[in-house]
Amino acid sequence: MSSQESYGSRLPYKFLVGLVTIVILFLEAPLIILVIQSFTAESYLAFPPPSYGIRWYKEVLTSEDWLNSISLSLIIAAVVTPLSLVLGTMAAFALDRGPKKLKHGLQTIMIAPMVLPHIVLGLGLFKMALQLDIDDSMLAYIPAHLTITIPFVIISVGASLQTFEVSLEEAARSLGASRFWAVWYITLPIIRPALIAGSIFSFIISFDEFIITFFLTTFQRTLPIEMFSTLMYQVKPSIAAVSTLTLAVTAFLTAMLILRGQVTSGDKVIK
Amino acid sequence: MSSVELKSIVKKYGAVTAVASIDLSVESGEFVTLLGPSGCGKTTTLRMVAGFIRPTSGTLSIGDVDMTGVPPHQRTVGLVFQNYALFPHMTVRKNVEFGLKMQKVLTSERGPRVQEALELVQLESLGDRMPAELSGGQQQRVALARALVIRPDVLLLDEPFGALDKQLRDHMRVELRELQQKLKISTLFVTHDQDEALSMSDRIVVMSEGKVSQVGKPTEIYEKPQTRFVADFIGRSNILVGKLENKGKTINAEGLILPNKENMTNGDDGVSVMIRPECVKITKPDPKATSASADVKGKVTASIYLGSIVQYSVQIIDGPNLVVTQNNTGFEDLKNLTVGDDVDVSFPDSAIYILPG
Ligand SMILES: Nc1ncnc2c1ncn2[C@@H]1O[C@H](COP(=O)(O)OP(=O)(O)OP(=O)(O)O)[C@@H](O)[C@H]1O
Ligand SMILES: [Mg+2]
Repeated sequence: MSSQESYGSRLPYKFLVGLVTIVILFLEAPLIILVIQSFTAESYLAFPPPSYGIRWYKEVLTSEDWLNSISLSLIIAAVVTPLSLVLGTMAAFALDRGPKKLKHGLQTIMIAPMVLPHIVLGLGLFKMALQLDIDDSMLAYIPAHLTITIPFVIISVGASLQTFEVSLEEAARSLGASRFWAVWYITLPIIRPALIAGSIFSFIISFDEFIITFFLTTFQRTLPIEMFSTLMYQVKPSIAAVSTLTLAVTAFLTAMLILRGQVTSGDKVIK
Repeated sequence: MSSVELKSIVKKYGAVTAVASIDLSVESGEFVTLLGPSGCGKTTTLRMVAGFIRPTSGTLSIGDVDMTGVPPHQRTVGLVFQNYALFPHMTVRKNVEFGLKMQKVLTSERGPRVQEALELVQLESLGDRMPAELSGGQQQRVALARALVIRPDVLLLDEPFGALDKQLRDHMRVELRELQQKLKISTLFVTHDQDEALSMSDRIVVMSEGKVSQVGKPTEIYEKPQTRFVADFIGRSNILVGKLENKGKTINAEGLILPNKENMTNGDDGVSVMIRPECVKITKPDPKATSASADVKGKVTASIYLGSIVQYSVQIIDGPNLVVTQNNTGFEDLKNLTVGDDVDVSFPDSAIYILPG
């Protein structure tokens, strides 16, 4: 019976592999084309490029506009990431250890910004920023980004707290560690992969954020906004170069995210 | 000086009473076991001593100092969990060292003390392993070393051997008791395993539904249970409803006439009589001999083979049904006893115990 089934499933299996390959190509092709195009030596975008060079990377990395927007985005993400990690972790602990009755409702409220239409969120934050007269400044970007990055930390840390053995903390406390030090020495190291995942998510999301930030900016430009407004006027190969740089940063962080899991479970065995 | 003293300790969770007024003491160097069925409040009591649960009312002292509201980290108790709760990201040595670090013991002093604790549990060669690389028994020993290294006022253990197989459990039992006597450390041990309680304890506290049923040495608990609950819970027992007859000289226990050896009375004429199954002897009827103390006859209605012993159900003629266990010695012709056989039943007068109350 079962061997017949596996014979029978051979064809659909091949079909499935083919389908997946096509989907992957379809998804990745634009990116691959973009990356290749970014290395053009011409002054226009063409595929395949008639000649190759790093002309547009030089241009981007010497252009004040691009450098300003890249550094603004990096600074925002660099401030948002640790704040998001600390606040999100604290919220996850509160949800995990607090009264069970409140858990469900509170969790929904805290995670909502992640799933709410960002355009609605952006509009709301814009109104608020105007009222407080903090629009077009860090004071607006950072809290705005936090509202959408914190839920990712809550989810990743919350999930690992759920499987965390609380008796480990109790053992530490019975050995003389206060609640804080028990969490510091025992819980946090054990849930480290979740903390790293939460941080990387926060960084990527903040660095990549467009819709909400768009509402809050007037003169300042984060990288996604600079890219967008450049595109509005002209399609120059510099866009492809910037995109490739962004892609590289994001891919690097994502790879870290995937590798960290292996590293942490690996060093338990080695050490 | 008593190491731990609980006075009228109560713990309620809303409408649920987990512990309903407990008085308990562990004297210095004493091994006390909390024994009782599941849900009777053993863990709750132990966790109140450790400081993780705050009693609803009552007072608790450790080393004659009132500790009722003191948080766990300010009490010096060594706690051993059933699941070991070893820190998975630290080596065995770091696990054991943790308590010393928290108590701000000088770094130079920590090394020798960790070493000493590991030697105590015979794990000095495994200090650099991770907990995941140890067997269950070894993990339990590390947990013990980690709890002992801080030289606690009292050692608390909640079913520490529950996850081990029978053989290892028996072994750890002996090891823990030897260690406890060597260190003369006051110990409060929680279990629902009566063999564990009987074999290790100086005193046993039998609990039932959040209350103390009886406190006593293992022999007292087994041989002189004060309540029907204790008699039922500890070991196998036949408990018969008896009535004083013959001006109190004899007891009619469900048809079985027994001597009232201590002239026990109990206000009215009703008494409960306990006879342990292992005190009863059954033999195949021997036509030549006349039976000595009790010439009681019965019929085997069931037999359960348990290896070292065989447990029979014997219906006494015109009397109760008795559970009887016989050692599987191989000498007697017990092997030939089968359901339906007639037997002579006898037991010494000393096997008859009248339950007070
Ligand atoms: N947090 C809690 N909320 C409500 N009821 C509780 C709570 N903790 C314990 N109880 C109740 O208190 C009683 C005693 O529980 P406890 O854990 O002390 O039992 P135990 O003697 O250790 O049992 P076991 O042998 O199964 O471990 C139980 O009826 C339990 O349901
Ligand atoms: Mg328990």
